[in-house]
Amino acid sequence: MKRFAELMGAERFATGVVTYADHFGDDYVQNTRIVVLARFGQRVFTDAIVDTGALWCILNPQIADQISSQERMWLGDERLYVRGVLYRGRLFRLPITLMADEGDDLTVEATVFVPTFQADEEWVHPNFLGLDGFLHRLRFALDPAENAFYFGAMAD
Amino acid sequence: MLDVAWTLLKSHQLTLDSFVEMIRLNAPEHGGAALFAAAISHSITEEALRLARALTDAGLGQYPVDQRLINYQKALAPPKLISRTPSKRNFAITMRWLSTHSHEYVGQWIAVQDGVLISTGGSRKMLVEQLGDAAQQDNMLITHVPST
Repeated sequence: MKRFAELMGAERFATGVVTYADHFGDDYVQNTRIVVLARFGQRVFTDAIVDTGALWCILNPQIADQISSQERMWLGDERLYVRGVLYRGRLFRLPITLMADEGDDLTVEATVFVPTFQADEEWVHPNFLGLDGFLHRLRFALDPAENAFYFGAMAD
Repeated sequence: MLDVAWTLLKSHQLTLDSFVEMIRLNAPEHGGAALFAAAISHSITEEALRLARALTDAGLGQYPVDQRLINYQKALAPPKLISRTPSKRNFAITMRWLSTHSHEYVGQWIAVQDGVLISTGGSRKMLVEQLGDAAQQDNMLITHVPST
C-alpha cells in the first residue's frame, strides 16, 4: 500500500489498511462490492460487505454458530428486513476485528443480527458490516487504485 | 394503543418526541415496561433506531431494572473500541488467492496460509481438529466461503 505512510501522517486518520475484494463469494451477478476480511469473536474469520446502507452488522447463522458462546452476548430476538425480506433473528453483542495488512488491527464491540433458521434452510445473503452498529464510529477511506480500505478509530 | 401511535407517527401527526411521550404516559395502564419493549422492537424492525434509543432511555427512566429494556440499551449502544493492536498477520497474499479460487470451495471452511490452500472441512471445528497445532500458526486463515 504505497500511500499508507502518507495517510498515517500527523493526523493519524488511518491506523490500519487492508486489501478489499470487489465481489462477495460466488455472487453470480458479480456486483461490485467492498468486501473485507473480518474476525468475529476471537477466532472466526469471514468476508463481509462494507455497507453504509445497512443499519447493523448481519452474520450468516452457520458462521455465528462457530463463535464461542462466551464471546457473544445474546440480547434478545428481533425481526429485521434484509434486502426487503423480513427475517427473525437474534441480536448479539460481540467483538469484530478489522484485520490490517499494515498497521494495527482494530477491534470494536458491536451489535450483530444473526437470522434464525430451520435446519433445512440456508442463509442466502452476504455478511454485512453496517453503519449504525459498526462503521459510524470508525474513520474509513478507500483507494480503488489499490483496493485499499483504510481504517482507524474515530478518536483515541 | 401501539398501533394507533404508529399510525399517527407515520402520518406525521406525531413527532418522535411526542410518540415517546405517548408511550410513557400510557405504559402504566398498558403493560408497563412491556409496552416500551414492544415499541422498541417495532422501531428496530422499522429501522427507526433513533426512536428505539429514545424509547429505551424513557423506558429505563420509568422501569430501570427491567431486563428487556436493559438488553435493548446494550443492543442499541454505539460500537465501542476495544483494542488497537499491531497486526501480527498479513492476509494480503491469501486474500488474492481467495479472490481467484474461493468459488471452488463454496459452502466449505478452508484453511489458507500465505496464499496456499492447506485444508478444507465442513465446519470450523472439523478443520481446526485436522490441522492441530498448525491452526494457530501466523498467517493461517481459517474462513468460511459464502455461497452468495
